[in-house]
Amino acid sequence: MKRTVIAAVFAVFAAAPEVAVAQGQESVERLWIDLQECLPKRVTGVGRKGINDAPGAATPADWSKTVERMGLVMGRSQGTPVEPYATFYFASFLFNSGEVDAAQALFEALKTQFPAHPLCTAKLAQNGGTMVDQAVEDCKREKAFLERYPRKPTQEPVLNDKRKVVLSFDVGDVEIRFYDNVAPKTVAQFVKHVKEGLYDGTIVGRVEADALLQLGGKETEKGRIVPSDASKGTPPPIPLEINRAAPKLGTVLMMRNLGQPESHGVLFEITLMDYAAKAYQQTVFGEVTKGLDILQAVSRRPRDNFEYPATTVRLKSARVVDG
Amino acid sequence: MLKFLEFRSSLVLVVGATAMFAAAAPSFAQQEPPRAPEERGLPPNFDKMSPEEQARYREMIRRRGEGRREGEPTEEDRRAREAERMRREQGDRARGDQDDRRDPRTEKERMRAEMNRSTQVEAPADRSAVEATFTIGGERREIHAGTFYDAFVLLKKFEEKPGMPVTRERVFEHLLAIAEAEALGFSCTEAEFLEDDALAKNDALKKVAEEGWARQNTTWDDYKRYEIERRTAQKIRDFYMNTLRLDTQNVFDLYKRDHFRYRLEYVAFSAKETAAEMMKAPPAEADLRRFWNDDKGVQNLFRNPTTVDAEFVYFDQSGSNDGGAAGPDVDASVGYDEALAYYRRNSFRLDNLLTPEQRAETIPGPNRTIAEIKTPFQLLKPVIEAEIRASGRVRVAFNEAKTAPKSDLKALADKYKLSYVKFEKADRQAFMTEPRFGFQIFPVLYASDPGKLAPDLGVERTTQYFWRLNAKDTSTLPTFEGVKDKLPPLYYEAEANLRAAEAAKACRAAIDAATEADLKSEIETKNAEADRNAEREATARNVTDGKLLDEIKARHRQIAAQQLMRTRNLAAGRVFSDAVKKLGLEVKVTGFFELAAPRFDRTAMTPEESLVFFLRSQAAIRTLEPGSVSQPLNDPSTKTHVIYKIAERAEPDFASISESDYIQMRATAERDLSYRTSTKFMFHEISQRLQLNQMK
Repeated sequence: MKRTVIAAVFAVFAAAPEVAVAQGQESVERLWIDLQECLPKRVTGVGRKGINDAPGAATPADWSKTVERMGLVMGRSQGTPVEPYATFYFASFLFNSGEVDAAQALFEALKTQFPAHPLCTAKLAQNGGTMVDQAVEDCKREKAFLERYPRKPTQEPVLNDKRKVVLSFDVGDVEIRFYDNVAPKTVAQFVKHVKEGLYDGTIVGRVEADALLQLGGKETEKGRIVPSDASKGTPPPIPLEINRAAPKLGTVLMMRNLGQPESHGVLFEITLMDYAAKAYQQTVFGEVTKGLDILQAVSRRPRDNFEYPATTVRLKSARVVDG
Repeated sequence: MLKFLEFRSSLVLVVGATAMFAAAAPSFAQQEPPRAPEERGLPPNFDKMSPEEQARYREMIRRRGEGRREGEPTEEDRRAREAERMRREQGDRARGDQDDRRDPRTEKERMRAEMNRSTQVEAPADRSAVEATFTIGGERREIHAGTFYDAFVLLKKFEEKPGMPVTRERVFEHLLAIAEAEALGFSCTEAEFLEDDALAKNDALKKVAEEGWARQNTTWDDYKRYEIERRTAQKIRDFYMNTLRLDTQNVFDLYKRDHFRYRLEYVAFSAKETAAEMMKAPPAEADLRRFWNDDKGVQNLFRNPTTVDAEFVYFDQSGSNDGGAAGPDVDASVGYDEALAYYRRNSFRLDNLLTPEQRAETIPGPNRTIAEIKTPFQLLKPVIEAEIRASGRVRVAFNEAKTAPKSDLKALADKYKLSYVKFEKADRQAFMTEPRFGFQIFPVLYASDPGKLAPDLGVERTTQYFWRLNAKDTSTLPTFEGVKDKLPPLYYEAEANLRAAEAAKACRAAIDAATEADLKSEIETKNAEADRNAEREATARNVTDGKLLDEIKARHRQIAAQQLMRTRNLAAGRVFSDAVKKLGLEVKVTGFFELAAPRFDRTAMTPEESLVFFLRSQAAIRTLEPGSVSQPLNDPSTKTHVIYKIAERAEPDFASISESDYIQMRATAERDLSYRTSTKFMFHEISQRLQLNQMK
C-alpha cells in the first residue's frame, strides 16, 4: 500500500504540468491547514514547557501511517507555495519509516525544482548548511550505516483471527484477540493462564476514566501490585516483547515489573485511549474486539481510595475459543 | 465542537473560556443561584411568611448565632467583617499597598499574586532604540524597543495566566521564533487565520469574547495580530518537530550505552565467613560490654518503649459516626457565607477531598458546557456544612472538658454525639495503627504529663479531636546483665562486618601503594614539571610573597594530580591481581554480563550469584574505563564488601539486537530527539542559536 502511494506521489511530482489542474482549485490556506492536521507531533502551547506539557514531543510517532496522508497533501499542493514544505515533510516521514532511498530522491528533487526556496538556501540547519543539504547528508549517512549493518524491517502486528479469549465480567462479556506474530511468548503465557483458570474470580483493579483498566489481580491484593516471582509461588515474569503496536483505544498490554526489563506475566491492562506514557514501554499483545463499551462504562465508575471501582467488578471466568 | 477542541491549541480554549467567564461571571461567588430557604437556615415556608414573621425568625436565628459557639462571630459580625475586608482590599489595591501585616488576602491569593508579578516592560521613550541584536543566516538583525514593547503588551494580553507571567525571555522567544520562521519562508496570512480560527468562524463566540476583551482594553485586531504571529511561530516549531530524522546509528549508540558487556575481576570480603570464624570462640565479656555501651542502635533494640494510657474524643468525617448530624446546644444550620468563609480558610485541605470525577466537573470538557461547570465549593458544600457542625460540637466538648479536667470523656463524647477511643499501655507502634490522629501527635502526647488535656484541638485530614493523657510509663533501658546472653549474635554480626570493611579498606590501600610504586617515576616527573610551571608563573608575575608562592605551587600540583588521575586508575588495574594475591586473597572472575537493574529480593539466588548480581547492578561501571578499579563497596544483602576491576568491556553486536529491543530503543531515541527538539525554542536555546545580544 505504502509503495503504491509513494509511486503515485512520485508520478505526480514528475508530471507537474499535468497536475496543474489542481492550481486554482486548492486554496493555499486550506492546504496549510490540512498539512498541519497531518503532522503527528505538535509542540503544544508556548513558553517554557517541559516534556510533560508537550505530549506531542513525548510520543513516538507511527511515521509510516502519516506517509499516506502527507503524500495526498503533497499531491494537492503542486504548484502552490505549500509544495516545497509538503515535499520536505513527506520525505522526512519516508526517511523515518525506513524508505531512505525514496526520501533522498525527494530531497534532491527539491533542490532541483526549488533552487531559490529558503529550504534550499537559508543556512539554518544544525550543520551550518541548508535544511535540504542536511537532509540529503542524513540520508547518505543512514544508507551507509544500513549497508554496514543490514536489518530486516520490523513486523507489523497482525491480529490472529483463529483464536480469541472471552472475559466474562459480571457486567458483560469482553472479547480479546491477539498479536501472536509479534508477542508470541506473552500471548502463550496469557492463554495458558486463562486455560488454568488463573483469572477466574479476579477483579478490575485501578481504573482511569476513559483511559485505562488494570486487570488480573485478586481482591486480597487490592491497592498493590504483587511482583511476579517464581520463587514466591507466583507465576514467573516473562521477557518484554515490545512491538510496533502502540497503546490505543482497546489495546491489551501486559504490565511491566517495576524497573525491570520484563513483563509481569499475569497482571494486564486495557487502554481506552492513545496512552503515550506506555508506548513502547510495555508489551502490547492483543486488542479488544467486542465489549469495549462495557469497559469504558466500568472505567467511568466512581472509584475508591485505591482508584479501584468503588463497587467491585469481577471477572467471573475467562475462556479460550479457538477457530 | 469536538473538532474545535482537537484542533485548536489550549490557548483558544483559555481565551474563549476566560472571555466568557469575564463577561458572564465576575466571581464564582456571585454565580450562585438564589438559594432555597432551607439552605439559608430558614424554615421551608419562610418566603411565604409575612414580613413581621420573617423579621422574627431572622432575630431568632441571630440570637442562636450569638450563643451557639464560643468565640464564633455572629452572622452580622461576619458580614461586617467581610465588608471591611473587601473595603480594605480595594483600598490597598488603589494605593498599591502590599503590606503583609494588613494584607487581607488568603495565602492562596497572595501566592498567586506573587507568581503573577511579571517583569514590567516600560513603554520606551524612543521606539527606534535598539533593544537587542541577533544573527540569522549569517545576517545581524536588530530588535527595536518599540517592537519589543508591542510584543510584550500583546503577549501579556493573551498569554499571561496565573503562575505564568510574561517575562522578557518569553518576549524574545516569541520574536526570535517568528524571525526564524520567516527566514525559512513560513508565514500565516490573514486569510489562513480567517479560514481556521474558531472565533473568526463563529460570530456568537466572537461576540462573547469581544465583550470580555472590552474590559481588558483588548480588541479583535489585537487578537488577530496575536494569532497570526502565534501561528507563524507554531509552524516553525512543528516543522522542526516533524522533520526530525532518526538515524539507525543513533539507535545503536543508545543501545550500546545500555548494553555494553562487561567482565569483572573482584575480591570479596565476606562478613558471614568472618563471623563464622569468630564464633569458634565465645566473645570476651569486656568486648560485649563495650559493644553494648557504644552501640545506641543495639540499646534501642532492647529498650522498653514509653507507653501511655490516653483517651480520645473525636469526630471523623470519613468514619461511621454521624459526621454532620444535629447535636445538642451547638447545632444550627450553616449559612452560605459561613460555609464560603470556611472553605476559603481550608481550601487547600478541602480541595484534596474532591474525587477525580468531581474534579472533572470543575473543568470544561467535550460533554460539558460552561454553564455546567461547578466550583469546588459547590461540590464540597455538603462536606463543609457537616464539618462546620461537627467541628462546633467537638470544640464545645473540648471547652467543657477544659473546665472539668477529670470529667468522664466517654460520657462527654456520647453527649455531643462524638466518637471515643481509649488506649491502654499504648506505645508508638499502637498509634501507627490509628493514622486518623496523624503522626505529629507523638511529640506532644509523649512529652505531656499524666492528667493533662490536649493543649489544643487536633485537626487532621478528616478528623478533629482532643485527648487526655491518664498515665505514662517512660522508656527504660535494661541492664547489661539482663541482656548479655542475647548480645553475642548481634556482636558477631556487627564486629564481622566491621572487620570485613577494614580488610577491604586495607586491600584498597595495598592496591594504591602498589600503584604509587608503579607510577613513582611518572608521578615525580609530573610533580617536578608542576613545580617548574609554578616557578615560571611566579617569576612572570613577579611574586615574592611566600604564601602566594605556596598557593601557586599547590594549584599547579593540583592540575598535575588531575592529569595523573586517569593514569592512576589504569595503573591500579595493572597492579590489582598481584596486590590482592600478595595479601593471600583470591581474585575471582565473572563471565561477560550486561548491567541489570537492582533487585531488592535476591533470596532465590546463591550467595555467589547474589554477589555477582550486586556487581551487575552497579551503575558506576558505566562511567569507569576498562582497567579501572572501584573503591570498596558494601553489599548489605550478602553482607560482603567487595572491590572490583573492569577486566574487559565489549560492544554489543548490532545484528543481535532483538526486534523488541530495537523498537524499544528506537522509541527511546525518538523521545530523546523529540524532547531536544521541543526545547529548541526555549529562551536559553534559541537565544544561543541566534546569538542574541541584549543591549540592557
